Amino acid sequence: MTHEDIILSINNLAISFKSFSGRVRALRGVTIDVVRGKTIAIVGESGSGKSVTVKTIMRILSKNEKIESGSIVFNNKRDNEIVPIDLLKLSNKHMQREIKGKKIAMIFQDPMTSLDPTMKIGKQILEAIFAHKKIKLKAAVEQVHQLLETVGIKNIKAVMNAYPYQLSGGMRQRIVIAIAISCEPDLLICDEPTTALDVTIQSKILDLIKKIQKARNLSVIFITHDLGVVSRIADQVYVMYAGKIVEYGTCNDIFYDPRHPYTWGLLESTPDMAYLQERLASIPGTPKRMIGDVKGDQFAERNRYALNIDFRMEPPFFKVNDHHFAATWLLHPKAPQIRIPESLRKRIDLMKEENRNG
Amino acid sequence: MAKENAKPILTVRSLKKYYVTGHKQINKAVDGVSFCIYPGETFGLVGESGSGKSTTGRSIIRLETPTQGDINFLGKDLSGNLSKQTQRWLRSKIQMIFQDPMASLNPRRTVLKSIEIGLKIHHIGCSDKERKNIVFQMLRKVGLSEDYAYCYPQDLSGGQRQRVGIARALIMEPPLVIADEPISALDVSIQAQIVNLMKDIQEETGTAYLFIAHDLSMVRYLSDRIGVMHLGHLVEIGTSDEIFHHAQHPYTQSLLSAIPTVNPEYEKSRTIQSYQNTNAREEYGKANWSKLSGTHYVLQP
Repeated sequence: MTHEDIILSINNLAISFKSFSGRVRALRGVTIDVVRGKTIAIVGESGSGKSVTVKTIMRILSKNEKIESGSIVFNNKRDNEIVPIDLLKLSNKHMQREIKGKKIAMIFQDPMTSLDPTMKIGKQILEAIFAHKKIKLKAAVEQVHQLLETVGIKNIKAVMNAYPYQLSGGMRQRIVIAIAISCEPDLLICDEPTTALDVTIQSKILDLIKKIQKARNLSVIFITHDLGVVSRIADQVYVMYAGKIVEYGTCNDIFYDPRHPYTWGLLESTPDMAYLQERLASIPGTPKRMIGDVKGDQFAERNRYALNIDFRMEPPFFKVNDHHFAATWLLHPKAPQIRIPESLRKRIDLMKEENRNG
Repeated sequence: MAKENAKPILTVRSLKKYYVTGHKQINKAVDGVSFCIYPGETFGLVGESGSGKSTTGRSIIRLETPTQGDINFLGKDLSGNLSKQTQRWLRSKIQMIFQDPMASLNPRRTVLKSIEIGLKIHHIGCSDKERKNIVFQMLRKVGLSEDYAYCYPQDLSGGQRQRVGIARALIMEPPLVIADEPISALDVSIQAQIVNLMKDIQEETGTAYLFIAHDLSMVRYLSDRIGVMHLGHLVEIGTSDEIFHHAQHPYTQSLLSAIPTVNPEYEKSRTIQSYQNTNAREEYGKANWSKLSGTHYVLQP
């Protein structure tokens, strides 16, 4: 991959929160590359640090949050020239004027909380446009019409005059998407945008995001804990656990050839329509809070396949192939031969066969 | 498991719940729903938000007063106004598990107190010590150690809180538990834990579940029979297999087609059916049930 292909690269980002019980290490060295025009998905349980990562990109930090180390380089395209900017070094004012909304936009989980309940929809979208562009009202209204058409809203006039509470959850999320893309950003961050929606609406919103991405050559960072959503939308997948990336690769790598026991656990606990087990496998226990200094692999306690070394040393990334890496000692040449769980193996074989048969 | 000749513990017949939302405006949340639940089985009720599935559940346990319809539970008629005595009886025989365990547990009560309160109200166990032992037993059953008895809800994770919610519902040993989206606020890995736990407890105690959810794939793991709701009407009832393999109603089919899979190559090329029928509400009102097999019914215009 050449340097120009990458729109955003997060390097070794470490973040901690001050709390009464000590320093909580939310991120412990996260490295992520986002390729221009592609979708990357970050998956993990709640508390794994997915949201903190993207909030740091947008610099929406809480007061007790401290950036320990790392950089977030955004390769800004200006007049066909690429200017790398470190987002962590920008002033707040610069960030607000040049980056937020204009270059990087974000969609949140609950559309009701990201829209102003006292303002009509049309006005809210206009507000976003006027914040970044100097244009006449008439031209702006014209633009709002186009935006609402892009996000698949039919009765545009009525919706523009409606308040958020008058719309359904799916419609509200469409409005939020319209606001996010109103200033033609290069990068769109979606923080669990479909978690609060029904499955039928969810698939429609995912298709909409995919369509917009294709049409505008957007790069998308998609955060979710639902692997079904990931498989529909992602090109690249990063699996996150306890503030660290534990496995990353292309979508096919992660779903057809997972290597980390945590990824196995996530896949096993996702129900599948084609392959029905008597009992769903689940990952025992819950994620640990990382207070103070941490030692060894954080997943070791919940890991059926943990080795002795997991409790003493954190595993480095082992290369599976050119684009697939996993941080588990199981991939060390000297490790015992532990294979992927039998039921998951069967399920993946079944899926592959299904794909061959069309 | 449901036996063919067993007597249902709960029969709901043309249940209606209307809300008056404004001048001459009526929201028909539930509009003539009929089904029954057999002892020890799990009946899944699925549908989009706004389809009336929660209202149905809440009407059965009388958190809402139904506008019309017959509810028969363990041979007792529960329609119309209830006497205090019947209400008390009902509340000890049907229990509920809610979606958001943080909102349904009192933050100022310890886990022990939250679980114990049902016993106290219905005078089960004569001393504090005896009640405490019952609670400890229950906690172990839901996979929490006794140490958690003195924790407050804020100290627990989402999955643990939901376990407390389940313990609180089961402490009365009810023949029927209504679970209103008990897993949709949880992570996928924790969802699987809770579903397995509910299954285990059912095998042990033989309670029946009315499992309300919008996530069809999880419902399948738990349910013996499934009812699909749309716009306040049941549109299809059948066993898990019948619904998942031989769905007849277009709405059920659209719900099934929307379930995401973990097969990226297939998933990316998949198209989703959508069911758009602008006058579905009126059609459902006039439609009749047709029987496809012993247990499989579909609403046909």
